Amino acid sequence: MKCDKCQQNQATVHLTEVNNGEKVERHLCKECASEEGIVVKSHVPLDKMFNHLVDAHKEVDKLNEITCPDCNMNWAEFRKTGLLGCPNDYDVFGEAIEQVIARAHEGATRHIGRNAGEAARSGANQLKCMKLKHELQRALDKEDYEAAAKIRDEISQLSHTNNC
Amino acid sequence: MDISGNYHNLAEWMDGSGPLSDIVISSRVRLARNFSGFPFVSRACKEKRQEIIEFAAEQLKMPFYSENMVFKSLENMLPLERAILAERYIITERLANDCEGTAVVVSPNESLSVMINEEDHLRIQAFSSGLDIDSAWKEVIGIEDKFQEKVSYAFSAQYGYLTACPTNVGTGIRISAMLHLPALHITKQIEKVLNAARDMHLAVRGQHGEGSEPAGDLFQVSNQTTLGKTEEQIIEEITSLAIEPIVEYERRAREKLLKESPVLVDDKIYRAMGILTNARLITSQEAMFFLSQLRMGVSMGKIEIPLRVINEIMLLVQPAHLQFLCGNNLEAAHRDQFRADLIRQKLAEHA
Repeated sequence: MKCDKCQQNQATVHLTEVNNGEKVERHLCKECASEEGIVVKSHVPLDKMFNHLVDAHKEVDKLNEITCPDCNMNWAEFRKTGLLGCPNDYDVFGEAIEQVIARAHEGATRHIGRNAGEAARSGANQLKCMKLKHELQRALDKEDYEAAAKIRDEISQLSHTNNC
Repeated sequence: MDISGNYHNLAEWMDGSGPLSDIVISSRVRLARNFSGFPFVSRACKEKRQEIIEFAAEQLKMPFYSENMVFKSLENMLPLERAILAERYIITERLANDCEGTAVVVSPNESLSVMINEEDHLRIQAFSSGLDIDSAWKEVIGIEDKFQEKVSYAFSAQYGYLTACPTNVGTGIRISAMLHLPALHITKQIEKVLNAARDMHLAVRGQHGEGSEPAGDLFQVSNQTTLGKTEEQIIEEITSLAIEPIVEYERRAREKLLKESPVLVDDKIYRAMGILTNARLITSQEAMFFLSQLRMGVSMGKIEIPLRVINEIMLLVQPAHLQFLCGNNLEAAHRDQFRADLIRQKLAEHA
């Protein structure tokens, strides 16, 4: 079917309009339709759709590779049980966990309740301290005593300001 | 091993007093907290769980002591007593069934309790009679303030209090009200009202929370969103947008019933009274069904029995309490007989 307007291109947009109670059918090509301000939702070509799919799988695969060094929790296991293994998982699973949280809490991703200001600082320190302790262990395992000494200094500095 | 507590009566917080107590049986505030430096409970082996219990008992002993709270290991408790504690809402049913490496700390009047190693290291909860979330909140926060001085919690600058399940993260607060909604049931509006509540991101469950069947027209309504709002906002929202409107619907349904079908209402109430005061065998389900209608009759001023007594019977006819009161292991038929006797006796004392 040719376009009603230009009479040249193939009509791909089919409209049914009601004017003064009378039904009018119109068949337009994509260009003429867009000239009339009709927005046509373009479909994703098959090859691109396939790429999206592969990308999504890659994302999941990437996520599935992440395992918490503290508790060995991985994403697949979390999705199965709905329970995290330790506080560090909130850091480890980053954006993915943020999305889960937003869905569960009407879009919210930030705590504004009790101790949101005060304990936040010590909480951040706690997390940092935990991370440093892991780094320390790794350095000791590798017998890198120079690095270990530096990390130990950092930990002792933190623990002066906070009971970590 | 013996039963360690006295479970012959109702706890004070169920005594039928407090605002709107004709419809709101009780209010509860519960906080989820985890210690930093430990894995969450699901990732803690038996020894680790024991370590968490010992850490809590040691670090928090002063706050517990100041409230005269008693520490009880659930693992070293008779299954019957655990079931009783669940019927009294001191622990969850889940904890009653899966108690390895778990404990509970309870105040003398049972209004305040702390579960250790439920889904989170600590579940601190307080109850109050009627719609009185503020009292429960004050009690919870009173002890939680003392906890904060003693231990450091898993906390993140962005997400607030970190919990095992991300659905509790942030404030970690769960506000619940136990509602008695017989008229909405009779007028077939209950589903509509409860679905509206669910649309508002509220959880509506049976009497014993997650997975439990509604019995005796008792429904537990609680918030699901715990992040992005302050505790006070959450309390205010669930009170003014959910609990108070539902109470109002139930009240209107009762008024409508009384106006349009007074005989039907009387029939239900007096028939319930008749059966409860005469039956010689009664199942738990049947008992709850008629106790619900009797309770409505009391609230409507048709029958003079204190609400406290109805609340008490509703608790004591539950399977674990019944077995405790009877003193030996009952077979089903004998249980139904003992239940019927208990109800008749309690009603005769007060009618």
